[in-house]
Amino acid sequence: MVELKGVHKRFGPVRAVEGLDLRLREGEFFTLLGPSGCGKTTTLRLVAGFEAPDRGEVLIGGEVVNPLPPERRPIGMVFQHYALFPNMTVFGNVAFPLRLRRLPEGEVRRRVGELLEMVHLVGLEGRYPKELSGGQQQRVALARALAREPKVLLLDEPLSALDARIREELRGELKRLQGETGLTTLYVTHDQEEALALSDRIAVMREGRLEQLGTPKEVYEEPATAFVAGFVGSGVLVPGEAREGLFHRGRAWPVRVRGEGRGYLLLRPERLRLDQGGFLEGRVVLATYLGSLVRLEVEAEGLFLKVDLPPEGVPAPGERVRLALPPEAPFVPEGG
Amino acid sequence: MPGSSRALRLLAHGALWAFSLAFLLPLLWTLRSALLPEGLAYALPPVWGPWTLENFAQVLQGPFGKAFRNSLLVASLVVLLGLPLAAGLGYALARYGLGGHGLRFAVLAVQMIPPIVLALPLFALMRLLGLSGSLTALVLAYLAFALPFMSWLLMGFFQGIPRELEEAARVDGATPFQAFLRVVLPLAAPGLFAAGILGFLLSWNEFLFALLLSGRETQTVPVALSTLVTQRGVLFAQVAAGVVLSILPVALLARLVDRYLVEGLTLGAVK
Repeated sequence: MVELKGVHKRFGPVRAVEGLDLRLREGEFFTLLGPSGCGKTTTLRLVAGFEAPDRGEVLIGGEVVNPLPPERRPIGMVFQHYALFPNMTVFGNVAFPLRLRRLPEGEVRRRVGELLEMVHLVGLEGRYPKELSGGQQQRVALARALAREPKVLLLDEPLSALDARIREELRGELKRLQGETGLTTLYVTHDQEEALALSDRIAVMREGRLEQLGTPKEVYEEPATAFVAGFVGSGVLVPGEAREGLFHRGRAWPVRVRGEGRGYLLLRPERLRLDQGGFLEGRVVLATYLGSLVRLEVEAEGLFLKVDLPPEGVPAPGERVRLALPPEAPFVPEGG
Repeated sequence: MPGSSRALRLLAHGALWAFSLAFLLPLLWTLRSALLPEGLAYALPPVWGPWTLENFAQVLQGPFGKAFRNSLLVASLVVLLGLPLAAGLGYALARYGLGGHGLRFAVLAVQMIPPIVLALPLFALMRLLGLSGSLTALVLAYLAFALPFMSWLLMGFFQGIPRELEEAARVDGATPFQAFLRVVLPLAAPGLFAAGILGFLLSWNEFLFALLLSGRETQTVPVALSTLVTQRGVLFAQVAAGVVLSILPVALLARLVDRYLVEGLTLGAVK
């Protein structure tokens, strides 16, 4: 549905996007994930038509859209800060794209009604954006983006300006709406949790390049590079060597890995446990209460490992503990 | 504590009243003079009656009525013609960086030129064009000054409107012009009001070009007021009545849009 072929984009000396090749499948929820300045928003803006690639092609529905301005591309977009027109009511905002298409007023009313029902905002038609909460504003923005019946929905960090509870609620809404409409969706975020929860596939970007492309499970459990391993989820990269199917660090560790040669073992906090007969011995240096769990930081063999535990009966800082390693863990080859 | 905060509030109110009076005193004095018979307007010691509307009648019977209509026409035309052009130029400067720093400086530089420097060249130009003595000459001359001023004011205003809103309009299917017309302009309404009123004031109060470029039938209010300085002396009470009359339309206009005006001036100033 959306395809980028060898796309390059520079802003002065800054290479925002470098030789990016992507292909979004029809009806897919596709996320561009990466830290600030990695080129994800530029990529989205290239698809939207706000930026023109220096080289390469952007295709939507099989058609090269490079020469088309945003208003002629079959897209809808939700912006980070909602971008609702403050001088228009909720109705006016959602009706805006429909009125631009000069639809009869009756049809406009019908469509706006349907869209507001879809985003659970019936009854708020007459309110102005400033009279709405952040979550409600973002729902209006979503309804407006869908009003044009786009082929592709572009979402530019749409939840980042919301507080945690609303963010989680809207995350579910987004997923439900995307499922209902079956719209191909390109989502940009730096929040890995959001990306994992929402996406069919994730493209992790770094310095304008694609670092890894895969399903959330692949990206989380089989990170292709040390950057992806460090960026997606939390964990500690332990330098060592993969040999004969086991990880070695001075001695053989009882952890099965795939690959050979020097690299890093990725130890996720949720995969480590406290066990009297555990392989590693260490000392608790920090215990952070996170509500549903406590995250321990344990110093063992010169490493600072993180361990997630239920909040009950957690050892205090300074206590000596033994850690049981997972039987199998991701291994990232050196230079990856 | 409540006592001291009340005292502070009273002090602040007192100071504000004093400032307001200092600003309003000349205006109130002019109003008083306009309502007194000619001989008593500047009598010493000052008198407070008998009150009369005779000066207003005298002024309106003279060339002032015609001048009032001329001023209204010229200032309105300057605003009506200037505002769309200034909006276009201000937007192009703000969003597209039209002409780079050079054009921005040029726009600002026009405000720095003393009007007297341009008076003679403008007079010669208008004669060459056969417009000397016409209202068209005045409209063109005022536009030349008001347009850069209004553009500069609006540029600051447009810069304050998030670009994201225009982008949202574009994604919704609006062309750049539609986005400007349907999203940017309505949001810039306070700025447009402010620019319009200030453009109107600039034209309404201008004296030098009006004196040089207008003819007998095309005099504006400031020029008509100057004719009250006669060989027999200055007709102070009538001048005062003329000043009061000349203030009225601007005061009325400002009152109608004062909410937008204050918003426009403050927003344009900080952005």
